Amino acid sequence: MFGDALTELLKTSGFATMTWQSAVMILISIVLLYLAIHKKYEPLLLVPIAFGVLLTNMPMGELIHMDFFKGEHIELANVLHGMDLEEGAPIGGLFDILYLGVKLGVYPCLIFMGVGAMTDFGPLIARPSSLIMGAGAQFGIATAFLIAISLGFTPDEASSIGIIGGADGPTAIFLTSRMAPHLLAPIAIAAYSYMALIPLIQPPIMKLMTTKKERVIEMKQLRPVSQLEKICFAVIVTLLCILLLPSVSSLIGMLMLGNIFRECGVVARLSDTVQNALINIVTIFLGLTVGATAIGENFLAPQTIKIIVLGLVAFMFSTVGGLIIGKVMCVLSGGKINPLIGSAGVSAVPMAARVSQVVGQKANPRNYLLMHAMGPNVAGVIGSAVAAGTLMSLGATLFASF
Amino acid sequence: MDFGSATLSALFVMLIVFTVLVLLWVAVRIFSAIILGFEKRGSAKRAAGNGGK
Repeated sequence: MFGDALTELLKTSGFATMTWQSAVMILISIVLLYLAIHKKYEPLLLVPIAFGVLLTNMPMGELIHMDFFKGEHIELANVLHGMDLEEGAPIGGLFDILYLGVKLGVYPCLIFMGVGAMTDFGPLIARPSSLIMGAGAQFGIATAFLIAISLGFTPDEASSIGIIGGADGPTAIFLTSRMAPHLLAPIAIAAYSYMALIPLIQPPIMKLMTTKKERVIEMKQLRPVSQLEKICFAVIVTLLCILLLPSVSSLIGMLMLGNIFRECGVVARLSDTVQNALINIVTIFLGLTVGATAIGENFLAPQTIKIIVLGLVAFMFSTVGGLIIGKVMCVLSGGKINPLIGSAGVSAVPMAARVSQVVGQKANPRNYLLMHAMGPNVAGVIGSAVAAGTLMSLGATLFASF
Repeated sequence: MDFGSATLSALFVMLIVFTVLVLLWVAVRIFSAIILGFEKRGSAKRAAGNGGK
């Protein structure tokens, strides 16, 4: 009798329905947790992502139903009622509700508001030519896009893979959730993993692309930037970017709103909330739900390996693009600009700027490049958002015409 | 989409990114010059006022 009961219990347990894909994904989630906790690789994002992967691959957990979000359609009634209305059976779905924030592009924009509230655009305003380095460092997007197309990905998928080269997690998630939502998990995991690996990926490329003479260049201190300039900058970037590319309105708009909170000096409470409580809450939801989309049956496919490799290619070429522009500006300025700051144009604030500082200081201990590199670094945030907006708004027209 | 069309698309996207950021560069230079000009004039006026006292 007890034997029968035990057999019945085992039959209804998760063990009986465990697939090899679920088992592999659970192992992957444990590796990601290890990397986040022990190696401290982007832990703020990687811990919730890894736990989301773990939860979503537990057999019979039924936490998320990607069928409700196929294409541009959302089966809102099923999501909100937590049950399949046709079948009438309850099917759980906590993550279905949280995933709405990803699908509708809410979380990345709210994170951008937090990023804006934490970012000082002063170095960029003091040397606006940094914007060109931020543009050059989007080169990896184009390269990865081309390689992805030649590997057989559709233009929408290739755009989503290419945007990993922008080194900007929220932008990558925003674009992918709109253009290729089925690739969200591998793209988000690749983007955040490579952002954490920037101190390993960039320095060899930086040393390869620059001469010792260029690396030792000491740069003059930047001029101080007034509060009025910073407020005007936020307004002008918003006006210009959104008028030129309306599709970036939510990303750039939220980035600059957060920055206005920071710079105007009269809404300290809002600024504090946006750069602490709000961004932390949204990070939890975003990480968990992105992780939850990594369902074994979809994730363990050859295309995931391709995406991971293409992501690395995108990062490397973005670094090369930024450095090339840095070298050009070094020549044009008569050797006053250290080309190492160009690699910081890949966004990944402030990690990429810190890498420029470390590599520059190794070449010349008196070199302080951090503040100079922050200019291209924050320009990269704007650049990757503009690239995403361009891919979204022009993509459909361009891709259709070819 | 063939490789040639993809190359054109990628070049077009990069062209737009460069154009927008170059326009931003120009805009920032212009408004910075205007604001710095006003601030210089203001501080010169204040300095002249203080000298008069």
